[in-house]
Amino acid sequence: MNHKAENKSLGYQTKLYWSRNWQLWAMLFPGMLYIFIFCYVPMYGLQLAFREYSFASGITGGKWVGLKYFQQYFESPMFFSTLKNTFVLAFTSIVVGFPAPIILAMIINQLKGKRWKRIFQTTVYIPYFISVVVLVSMINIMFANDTGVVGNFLKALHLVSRDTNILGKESAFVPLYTLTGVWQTMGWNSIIFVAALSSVDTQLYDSCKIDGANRWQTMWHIDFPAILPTIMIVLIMNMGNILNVAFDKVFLMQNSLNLGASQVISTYVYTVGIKSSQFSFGTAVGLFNTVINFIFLLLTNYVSKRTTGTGLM
Amino acid sequence: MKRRAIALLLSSAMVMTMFAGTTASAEEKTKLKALFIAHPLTQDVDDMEWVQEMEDEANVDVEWEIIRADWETVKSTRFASGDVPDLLFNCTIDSDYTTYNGLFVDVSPYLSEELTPNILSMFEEEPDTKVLATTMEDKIFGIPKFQGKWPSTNTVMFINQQWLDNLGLEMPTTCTEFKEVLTAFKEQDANGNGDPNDEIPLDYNAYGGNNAWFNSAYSLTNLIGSLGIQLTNWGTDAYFAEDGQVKNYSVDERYKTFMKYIADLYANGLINTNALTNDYSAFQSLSRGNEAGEPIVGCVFGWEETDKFGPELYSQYKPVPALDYDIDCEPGTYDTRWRDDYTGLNMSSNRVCISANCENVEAALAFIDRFYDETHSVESLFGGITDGCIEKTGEGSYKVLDPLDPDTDAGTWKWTSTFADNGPMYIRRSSEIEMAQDMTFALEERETYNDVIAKATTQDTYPQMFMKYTEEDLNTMAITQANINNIIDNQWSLWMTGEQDIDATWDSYVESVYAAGLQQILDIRQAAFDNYLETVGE
Amino acid sequence: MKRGKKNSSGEIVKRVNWSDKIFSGAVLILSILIFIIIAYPLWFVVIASISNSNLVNLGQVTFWPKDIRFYGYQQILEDTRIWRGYGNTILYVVAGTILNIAITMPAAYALSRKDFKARNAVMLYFVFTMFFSGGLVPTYMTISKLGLISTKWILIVFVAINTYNLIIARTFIQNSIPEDLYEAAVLDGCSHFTYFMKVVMPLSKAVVSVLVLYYAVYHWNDYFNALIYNSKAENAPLQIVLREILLLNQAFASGNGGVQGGYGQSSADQVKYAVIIVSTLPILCVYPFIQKYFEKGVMIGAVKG
Repeated sequence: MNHKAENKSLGYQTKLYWSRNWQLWAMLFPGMLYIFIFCYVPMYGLQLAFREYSFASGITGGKWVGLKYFQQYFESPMFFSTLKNTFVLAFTSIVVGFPAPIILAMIINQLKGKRWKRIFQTTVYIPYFISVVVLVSMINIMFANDTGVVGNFLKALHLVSRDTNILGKESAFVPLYTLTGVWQTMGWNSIIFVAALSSVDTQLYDSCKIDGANRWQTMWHIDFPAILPTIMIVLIMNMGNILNVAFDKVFLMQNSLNLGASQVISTYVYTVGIKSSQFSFGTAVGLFNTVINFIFLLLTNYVSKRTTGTGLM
Repeated sequence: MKRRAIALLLSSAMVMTMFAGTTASAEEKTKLKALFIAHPLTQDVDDMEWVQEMEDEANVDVEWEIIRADWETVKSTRFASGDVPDLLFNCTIDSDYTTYNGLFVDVSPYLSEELTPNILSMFEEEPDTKVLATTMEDKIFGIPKFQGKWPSTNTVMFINQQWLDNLGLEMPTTCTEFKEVLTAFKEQDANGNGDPNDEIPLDYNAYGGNNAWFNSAYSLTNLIGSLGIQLTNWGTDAYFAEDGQVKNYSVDERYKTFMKYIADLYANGLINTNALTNDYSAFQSLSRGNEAGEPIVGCVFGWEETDKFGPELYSQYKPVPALDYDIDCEPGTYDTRWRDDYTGLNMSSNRVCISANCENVEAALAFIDRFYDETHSVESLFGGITDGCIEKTGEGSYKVLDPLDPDTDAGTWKWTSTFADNGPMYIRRSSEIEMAQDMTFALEERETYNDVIAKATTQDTYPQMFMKYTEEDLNTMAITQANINNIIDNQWSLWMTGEQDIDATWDSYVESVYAAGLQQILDIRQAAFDNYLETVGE
Repeated sequence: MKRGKKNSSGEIVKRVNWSDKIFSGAVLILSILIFIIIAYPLWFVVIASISNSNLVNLGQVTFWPKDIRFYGYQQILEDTRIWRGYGNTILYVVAGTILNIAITMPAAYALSRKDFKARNAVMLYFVFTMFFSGGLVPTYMTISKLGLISTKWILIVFVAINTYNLIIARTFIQNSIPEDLYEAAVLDGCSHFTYFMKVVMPLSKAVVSVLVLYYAVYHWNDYFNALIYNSKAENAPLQIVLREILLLNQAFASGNGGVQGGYGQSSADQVKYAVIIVSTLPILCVYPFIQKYFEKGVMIGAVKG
């Protein structure tokens, strides 16, 4: 009797377990199917990096040339400079751009006036909706030598020396790119942190108050740890995208004077791979870019897991 | 609004003619699909009645697909996946036929007096067009156009004559005089508005990537002709020819001299410092004066004066003749030249080609040939007769009518209502066309340069579009040129603005350009140029 | 002892109030500063869209519009393509976003289950595609084989699930929905489906609203996919139409002998600025509706505690 019941419950539990897992798989199915069709199926195209592209024999039929195109890239005078420019741009963007939305989210969270909070929040999101083409033309007008409103303002404050042409200075490209990027995405990127902060248990605040902590301390000891997992996840994702600097913005901001700082891997791939139809070379350089990104992702993921216990996988 | 109303009216008229057409010839029309890469202004082809008429004449029914933006980005995807319609208008460049070998039809076996009389007469009467169309393997994929009425240079250097008069100055003829004039513009109140500091002595356009310093039509490199370098058809990527030799002036000693002159002008505040980053739109608007409608630009490059300076200011500007270089040397040391763009402006390859997806090449070619008919060619460029854009005033003579939309000018109207310069056409030299005011001006302004341009011989004219390359050569050139451009497109600006000293950096600069593979490209180009000279019988 | 404690805590409260005031002030000043930095360029776009473009290019328009004209708006609104573009874009945004949420949320839930053994492997399956892709041409060919090129479907279906958003949703569910609820539900005999529908979804309004915003803006701004995978004018979304209008003004830079002329240079750039406003305003109007849910999300947080 007893034995039977145990058996039954065990059988029941196994059955339950499987039925539950079946349901989880069913929930994953549409997403996985989509990814399979639209992402994994086309991946056969990656072999182009190792083949000589020819239209007649198609993507998979070209002559196998091994690492020829990689070698061609590594040996070209562009290899070092594109790699360096990409790294400089990417790291500056992360160092400057990553903390900004977190700080902004904390400020939003601390604002008391409801109306002001709403106006403020809505305003900081707006720049994200502006397209890159327009953003760059705004930059060109506002920082134009002599006539640019913002450029002149910075010069009046002595933040920039009088005789610099901001748009045409190689050393000004990276700050200009980074700071305008912060301007555009800071508000938008803060959404995720604002959402995370909104789910912080308010009882924690109350108990904090009773303990006599001031708001600065509350923020530091309650808010920050609460959103730390989110911060880590976003950081990992950003690190994994490190070499994917926004192609179109760099491309549009390029001019002869800043080319020394603005020719990055993706613009180079576009110039050679797409515009000159050098598919194989373009794919090879792109693949190199991807592999580096992936390594960064795995590295950050590993470090994050070891230090904060949060990770993607 | 008016334009829309007219389009509506015309399209309803078109429906009626189509209806008449179907009842008349009930037999099967060949169905074709076409892709046309149009100017963003251009209206739908279905709204052009003259095209409809041609479809009827050739007994075909064409379904038009139009792309107005970013074809360069879309192209490689569409071509590589083979997803293209039967007819491709303005879609291809020479290298596509080798890169996508097998995607296009070689039409040369199909050309015949019965099927394509007009195309053949173009090849016969303007043999250059045949040279342009024929590949190394004696095949013809893309059919070119010929529009013999365009001038022989794209660019005119304009100066404000009224400023010269105000300051009691003569029109400059040498580089020294030019600098003096610019200096006077800068230091004095040339436009007489009481502010001696609002004048911009010299403006140019070299912004927008793609090696614009060397490739923009309105860059300062237009002046390199003063040092005896003959530019042909925009002199793309700084290549030119001299005594039958292909050279690149970005590493020529004369370019060094030229850059020193430019750097000197810049250092004296004579060149617009914003031009480095001004896009074309900003470049255009600067020449149209300030808030009060006063001119602020002294000297600038442009296509035509009403286009460049607007209706109020254009009469103040006059063309500057090609300047003689006389800095630290006698004028005449260098053989002064001005850019010759005749073939570039009047001929263009690959206006239309046929894809391998086309099942009825004869029908497609018969339709294409209609574009090369004398009258249809004029319609292709200026707009249809039944559309109210032009008028046939006699046998072989035409008049371009005023725009039906009174709010636009002749140029805009042309690009709106028809294929314009993007279309296939053969404008006979014998055709008489009374053109709109802007074209008349454009032709008159260029008389200043006629004598100088006439100095160019076949040995120092280098029309790059006629050169034929193998696929391997094209691949090599593509990557190597991108690497070279990365150096030369950066260095000029550092020299001009004085960030780097020309003498100190010149040698290492030249070295790095060669290290990037310039010699390899020059060898490939030289071989192609030799072949070309042979073809044209030199 | 008791008294002392009271005293000291009273003192603390006082000090806290004082330091809190400084803190509030600092936050307020900082927020005003950020507001100006963000808002001024936006204001500039507004005044530039109604000022004489020549004056804008010359840098003479700073705080107030000068030589007011509405040529840019007139040009845009007269264009019938714009209205069709709006219609298409709204379809892609609404249908696309619904599909996105319907696919992303269940997947995120499944991946958030710590007892689901395969979760890491499945995550890798998704993350891998963030980095490696076959490139444009093979993707185009695949879509072409499905017969979706130049259909409205492809612009709805494309990017049906975004890995980045999937991770956000997973992290949220994992960290914000207490495990006790799941255990209680299991005791009640709830299946994953019911638990997901009855408990997880109602508690995830905050993250769903974030996802809606992310996905909707993606669809709204999507230009590239429409460019590549659609070539039929009747399917063209707003961004494509606007791009064509923008290009009108910069078409002759290469100088091919064309004449730009009377397109009204002094108003030409107005179109550019008017385009920003015309294309941004509608999606901005969506935001306040979603913001409500943000606030609800806060309330749920409170109830939960």
